Amino acid sequence: MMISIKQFMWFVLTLTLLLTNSKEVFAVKGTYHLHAQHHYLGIESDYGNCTYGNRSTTLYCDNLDHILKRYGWKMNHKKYNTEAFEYDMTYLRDNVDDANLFVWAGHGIDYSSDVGKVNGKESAAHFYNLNSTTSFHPITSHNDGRANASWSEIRWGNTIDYAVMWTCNFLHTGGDSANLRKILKMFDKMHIMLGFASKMYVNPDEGKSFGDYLIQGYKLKDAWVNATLKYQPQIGTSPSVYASWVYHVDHESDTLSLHSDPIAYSDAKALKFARKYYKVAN
Amino acid sequence: LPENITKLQTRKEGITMKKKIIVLSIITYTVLIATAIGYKNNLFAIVTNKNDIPPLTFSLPGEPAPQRGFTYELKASVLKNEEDIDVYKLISKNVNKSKFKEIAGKLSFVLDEAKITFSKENGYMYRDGDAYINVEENGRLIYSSGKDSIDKKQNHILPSDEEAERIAKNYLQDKGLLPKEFFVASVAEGLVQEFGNGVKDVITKQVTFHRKVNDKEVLGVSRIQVDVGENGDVQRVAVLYQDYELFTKKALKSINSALGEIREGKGMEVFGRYFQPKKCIIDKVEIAYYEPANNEKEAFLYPVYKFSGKIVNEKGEEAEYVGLIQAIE
Repeated sequence: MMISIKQFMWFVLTLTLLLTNSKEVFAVKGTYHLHAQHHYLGIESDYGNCTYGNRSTTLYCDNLDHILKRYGWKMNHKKYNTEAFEYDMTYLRDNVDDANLFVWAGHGIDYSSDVGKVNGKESAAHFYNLNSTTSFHPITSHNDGRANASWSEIRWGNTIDYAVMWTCNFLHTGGDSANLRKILKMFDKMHIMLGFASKMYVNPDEGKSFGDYLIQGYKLKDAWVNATLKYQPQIGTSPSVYASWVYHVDHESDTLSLHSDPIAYSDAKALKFARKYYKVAN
Repeated sequence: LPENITKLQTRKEGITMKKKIIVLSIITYTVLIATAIGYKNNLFAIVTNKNDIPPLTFSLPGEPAPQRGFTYELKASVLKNEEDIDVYKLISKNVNKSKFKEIAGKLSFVLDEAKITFSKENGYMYRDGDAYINVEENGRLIYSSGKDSIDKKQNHILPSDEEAERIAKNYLQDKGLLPKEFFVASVAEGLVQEFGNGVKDVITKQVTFHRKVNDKEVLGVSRIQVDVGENGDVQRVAVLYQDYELFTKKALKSINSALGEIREGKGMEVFGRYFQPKKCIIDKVEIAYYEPANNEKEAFLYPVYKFSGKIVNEKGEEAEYVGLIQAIE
């Protein structure tokens, strides 16, 4: 059978495309979503005026993104700044629980602070917009529910195995078992959630180190601890910085690969779940 | 004849032009190659930035910052304004594979060379089951025995603070990992577990060493941490500082100018608790050094002003305050 030059060229082109995208086509190891708020201040006309200040959080996600892609993981979506909405993370829409890994990077409100009285008193990931690209919370309403994804609004595990909360305070309980219970209730078959049980400091390069540890095959908790050790500063004052992870006991040692799902949290199964925190700087 | 002379002249000019082009090309290539070599070896940085230091970028807290507009009161009595200060350049230990093997050997790893990996983000790494060691090219090191991954115990019996301190010091000295300028800054809970039923158990005690340079505290990533577990086992070691050498002397900013920058929201401010303060009372001003995590872009020990004190809100509640700002222009 003879083929024309044109057909041959098409064949070569198709083969080249397949080979260049072979990672995408043949070797997707897992999927992830990246959500981040970098701009909080009104530095551009379409941004709000949240006085908490801008933080280089989108860059952290981008750094992680580059490494995960290299490893054959596929980003399902990335939502930054005006595109990142509170209801995507909560049960109202739950638009994030269809990837294996979810990453949030932005300000985090502590349950114990004056502004932390979200849903009574819960820690939360903080947004400047109100689930809208044009509507932002005024400086007197940081605790507006639409600007805060808090513990009791989150139930993950349908697809999410691993959640990374690169934000202050999200895993801070203050030793209160009621707070721990609220955190554990987020575990609807999720394996492990990484975060901080204190304030943390924003250095986007931490994402490169963390991502590299992950793809080198380190356990998620070790990758987390090592990257935070290298990038979180000590400033000679309290409180210290505590890296933290909450997990189903059979999955504390998970690496970044796909494992079978554990059971969801229930009070009767409380002992199958735990939290650890580790002092990385003071 | 004149025709021949003109031809000859034209030929001569042609040859001269060719020569010129060749000479110019040689000069151009030489300059280009010299530029490339200079750039690669960072020679221009030395020439043009002899005393130039990139501004320090602080890692800012990821928790809410209060709205600006509260007042600052300077009540510090230690206002001895120094004029110049030494600035130090961070230097790399240039850890290569053979140096890595030597360090890993000291920490009792029996290495299978084929399993040593390297990445530009984290340097040399080696894992042996749950245990691992990681050494960056600049010399920063993290070691874990991996015991916390396999230890399912729920009630650990730990050494006293004094005993933990002694164990940590002996361990570091034995491995040659404790330079003289480091001192014990704290002994505190290191790794803690909290079970779903709320029961808490401390797994390690952490001994933290900070250092002083020229009698000034070094902040930032600079520290050594040793986690001591049950039976005095050293479970994790983090050596997170770099060596340094004198780079230059720089004039210090005045305290008032530094405080002015803090007022404007520059630098790093850390509040012990989040509330909206009415005022910030500063009762201590010190000069310290700050070792950044971005040790390639900002490879210096930066002199900083450290303003310490408290914030007070409308209700009279107080919380700790620390403000840091680069102390040199």
